[in-house]
Amino acid sequence: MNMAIPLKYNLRNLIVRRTTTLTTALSITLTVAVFLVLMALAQGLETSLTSTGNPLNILIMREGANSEGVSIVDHDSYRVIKYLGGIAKDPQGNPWVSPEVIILINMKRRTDNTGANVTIRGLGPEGPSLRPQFKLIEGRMFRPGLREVIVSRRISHRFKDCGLGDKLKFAKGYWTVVGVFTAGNSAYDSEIWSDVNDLASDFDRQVYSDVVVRAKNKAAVAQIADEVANDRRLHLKPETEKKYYENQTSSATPIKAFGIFIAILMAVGAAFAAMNTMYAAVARRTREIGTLRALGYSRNSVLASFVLESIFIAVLGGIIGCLVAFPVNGITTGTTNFTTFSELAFQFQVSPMLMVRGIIFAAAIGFLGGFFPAWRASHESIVIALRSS
Amino acid sequence: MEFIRLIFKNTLRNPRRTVLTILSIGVSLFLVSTLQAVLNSLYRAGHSSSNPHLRVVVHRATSITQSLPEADRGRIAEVPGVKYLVGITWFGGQYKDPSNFFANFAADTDNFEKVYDDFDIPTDELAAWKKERTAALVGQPLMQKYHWKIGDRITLKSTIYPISPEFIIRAVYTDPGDPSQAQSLFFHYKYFDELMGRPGQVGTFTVKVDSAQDVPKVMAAIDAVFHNTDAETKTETEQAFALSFTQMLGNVKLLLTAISAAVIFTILLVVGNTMAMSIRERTNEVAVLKTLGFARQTILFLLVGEAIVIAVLGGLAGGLGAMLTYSFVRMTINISRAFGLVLGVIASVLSGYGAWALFGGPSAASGWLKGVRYAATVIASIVGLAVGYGFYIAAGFVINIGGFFSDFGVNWATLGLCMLIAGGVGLVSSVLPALRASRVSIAEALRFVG
Repeated sequence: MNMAIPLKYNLRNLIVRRTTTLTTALSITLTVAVFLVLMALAQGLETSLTSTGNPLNILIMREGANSEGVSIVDHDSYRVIKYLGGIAKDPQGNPWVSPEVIILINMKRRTDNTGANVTIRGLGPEGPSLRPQFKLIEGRMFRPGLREVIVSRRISHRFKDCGLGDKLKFAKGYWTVVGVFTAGNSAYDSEIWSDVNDLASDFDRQVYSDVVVRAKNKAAVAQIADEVANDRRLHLKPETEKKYYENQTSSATPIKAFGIFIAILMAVGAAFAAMNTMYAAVARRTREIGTLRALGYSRNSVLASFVLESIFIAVLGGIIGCLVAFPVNGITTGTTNFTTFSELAFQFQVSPMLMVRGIIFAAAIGFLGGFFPAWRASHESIVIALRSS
Repeated sequence: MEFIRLIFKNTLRNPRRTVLTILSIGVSLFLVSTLQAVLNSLYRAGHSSSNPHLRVVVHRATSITQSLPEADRGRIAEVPGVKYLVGITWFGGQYKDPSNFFANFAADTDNFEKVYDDFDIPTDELAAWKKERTAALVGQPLMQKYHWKIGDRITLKSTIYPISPEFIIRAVYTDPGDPSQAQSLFFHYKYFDELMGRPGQVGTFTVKVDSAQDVPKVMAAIDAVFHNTDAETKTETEQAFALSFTQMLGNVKLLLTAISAAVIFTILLVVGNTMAMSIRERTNEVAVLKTLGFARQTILFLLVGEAIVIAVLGGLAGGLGAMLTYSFVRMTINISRAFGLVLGVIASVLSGYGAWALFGGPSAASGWLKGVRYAATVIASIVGLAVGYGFYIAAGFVINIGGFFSDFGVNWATLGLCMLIAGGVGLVSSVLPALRASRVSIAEALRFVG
């Protein structure tokens, strides 16, 4: 086979032309960094939704409702649901069921005073234990009848009047924040919780929004779903909690599409720039290329050598791009989830896999930018190349 | 003026490099104009600080997702300065398929045309709409999009309420002040209330105010009426109300501005790199010019001028390209998707020619390399066709999403901004290498081997 031109040859060349190498690498750095930040945004949003559902929890909503907020379940239906077969018992021996009320209230963000709808969830006594991710980290649990709420840490950080001990004004008066909780990066991390009956009475609701039940096991999930769907009295729709939240990941699709659009345009721009750099490199080294060919290196070796050089510059840019983008990892941000029409707070997520994708992306730009100049270099006639000045 | 000619001649010194640089800047500024167009569409409402239609929106203070009692209508009407009002309730109806998303509302028909006096509704159609309980009033662009005619029956399935009413289209409205914005469907509130079992709940009230001076007073007075009641209200101007939806998205402005900044910085690097390479190669030439008696300032002017010319050409390609592309998509997408082939063919020719040129050179004259060149050209043309058509469809899809982006496009201000950015980038990126070149000593420069 062809003998490869030593990589050292390329490296030394890059060092000689360090300013050009660096500016070209930097333009790829920015492309990769923007790509990573946007994908980290989409990934963070998706993770917060996919990590929410428990496969044994079933949400029972009105037929035709595609979010808890617009669902209605009356008290009679709740009593029917509560005693369905297949529902697990909680440690006290009660049916593991929580009737819930979902209300959206407009709150002001701390940063720029703009408004967003925040989900307030009224839970039955079994509600918190149905969410194993739930953890109270400050203060205490709300007590029924006292107009008390607990607030997720992210909402507490991002919205006004949500600190421990603060008073929040909604419905018929003020509610006291008595606790702060986390919920394992799930969608519950964007909610405010209170007692279901307190909320329902304050908002004059005679009905629940939905009912969450825990199935005994996998088989029971299907059994409960069947019973609910086939009960003519109910007109309700069962859906596993996991599936409900997974369906909402479509909120991340526009961000992803937009991110890919931006990344491709930036990549094309950067590839043209890389082409310029590599064409200049080839032009300057025409005689060297002639010499290499005269020494017996094949056209393909020359082609490979120049393509590799370009990829090397690009990967260098890609690695710096990862370093530039990495600090956004873990930063909390929020947007409106248009399925539920409420704020979803989540963290940017720059995963190792994503960084690998960023570097592959950079290498692709390098290949695109390097191929044509390398093609030109490899098909130069030896005689002409050696004679060039 | 001779110098200007010299500048243009110099840009052709290495045509491939100039074209690649222009393309790189063009693609980047196409992106910057697109981002700016997105921001313009999203924050459209915020741009007009005036309130030309003298309308304010009353909604529940807690959140717009909670409704107001119907009885509020009478109490708001009594507030001094209130001329007319209509209840407007977001219905969230889907037509056939969830992807057919457009705004539809249950509205009071009394005084509707007085509150929305900027709408153009033929008198007979307006009367027909008001008379019939199941009649619907539809925006002209929406009629066109779904190929509806007056008299058509359509069913909307609500995503919020458990009903799927059927309507008959009886009237069409246009909005002469903002034609692309007439993207809504209005039907009778009474029909809606009846289907729901008469709960007597209204989403928002749109209020027409007597005069501009009265607007702040009326807003305060309405909220004062309901202060300390079970359903406190919040009254906002129509513009502020519209803007609140954009704000729910989070800080889009910051994100898009940061991306634009990164793109502009990239162009700066690209042009800087190109000019540094090109000036370096020309060290001998600069020395010759100096020997001929050209002043240092003239040489500086020539080199910086060249960078600005290249950058501005790139800016023009990107900005004007984006402007024409999006206008074309906006105007044709609801006529036929076949218009996408126009973009496809343009992209196909450009990429085909690009491949032809890139695989060119003296070696491509004969043999199998010639074959490679032909094959690459054909493949690039096909890929270009697909990309151009795909872009048309994607842009058309975005423009059609619920009317949010119905005015999506690059305006003259954005184009001007692009040119300004390009000019600035050309200047900033070339000053340093040009200064260095203009200061170099003649003897040294003549000896220089590139």
